[in-house]
Amino acid sequence: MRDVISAPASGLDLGREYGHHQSPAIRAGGLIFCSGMVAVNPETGEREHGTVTSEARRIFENLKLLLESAGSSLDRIVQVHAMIYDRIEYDVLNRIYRQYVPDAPPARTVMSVQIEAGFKIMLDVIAAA
Amino acid sequence: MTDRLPRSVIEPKNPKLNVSRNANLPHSPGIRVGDYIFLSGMGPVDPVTGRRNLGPIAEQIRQTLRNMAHMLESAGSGSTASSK
Amino acid sequence: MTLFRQVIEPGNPAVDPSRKFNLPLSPAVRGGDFVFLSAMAAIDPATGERAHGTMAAETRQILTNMGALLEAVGSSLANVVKVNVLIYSMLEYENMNAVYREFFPTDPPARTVCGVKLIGGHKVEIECVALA
Repeated sequence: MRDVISAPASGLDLGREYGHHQSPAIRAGGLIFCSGMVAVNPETGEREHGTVTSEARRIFENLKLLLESAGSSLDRIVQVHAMIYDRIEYDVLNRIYRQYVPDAPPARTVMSVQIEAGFKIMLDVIAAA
Repeated sequence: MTDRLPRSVIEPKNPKLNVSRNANLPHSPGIRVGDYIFLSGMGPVDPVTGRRNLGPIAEQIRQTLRNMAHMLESAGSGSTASSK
Repeated sequence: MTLFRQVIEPGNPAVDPSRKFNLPLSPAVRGGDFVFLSAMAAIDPATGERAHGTMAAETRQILTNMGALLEAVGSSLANVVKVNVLIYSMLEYENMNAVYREFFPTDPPARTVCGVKLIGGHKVEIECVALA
């Protein structure tokens, strides 16, 4: 059984907004696999480039909308691949990150990679349904 | 709707390998969800000193995988049960 | 009780880089409800040789091989839940995306794409998790 989780707000439908051929998330086997989330406005779909802090804040707020619409929540995230444009801002990421998953945070791996559209942060998460 | 899978934190039995706690980082060393275990990225942390050993890459990989085995044993699993 | 875990042999050994290139990986492993695939690069399924080409050609070869591998293990591209695409440069994202959409016509999997340094001279590697 594999269910598509639709975008809870139109701006999060990156397939429609930007031609990204992906579903926002898929639920299967008791887990929710989310597409890599970046800082877009959930209502307008506008890209919101900013600081690591502002982008991460928007990403977590978007993930909250997406996961809660699927019956899950930020505190049920089990794994995060945190993609960062440069490890030099690792501490900046941690500072905002811990505000959103303060207790029993998910497992995490941080990777320094090239992210779409010049964003500084992307979070690739798996949550428990 | 099926029952929600239970989610719990996994900590290594050897506290020197608990990078999350020792470096005050916002992650858990591992999370168990249902029958699955997800581990945080593990590096060549020395199990005696708790510090990273930055030697030759081969030895870094060996230490990292030994640490991962320790994490899985701490969780009651074993190295042969890894899928990814 | 231990969860079911099993290494799966691909039907076509030519697409198994662990044998051809002596790598310590399994192309596919079943774990519980899921099948986890190692990242695939473009390989000629007849010879097992690296198939270097354009981003579009490499993407097409990978997803063709991936579909065959999944079917050989009792799954399918339609059962893929998550894909991670690693490309050598985000400048070639559209070239990958245009071919990619042909392989997942409806209800595509969740996906993350990022630009990384790849080995073997390849332009793209794709890994996935599918329902068994």
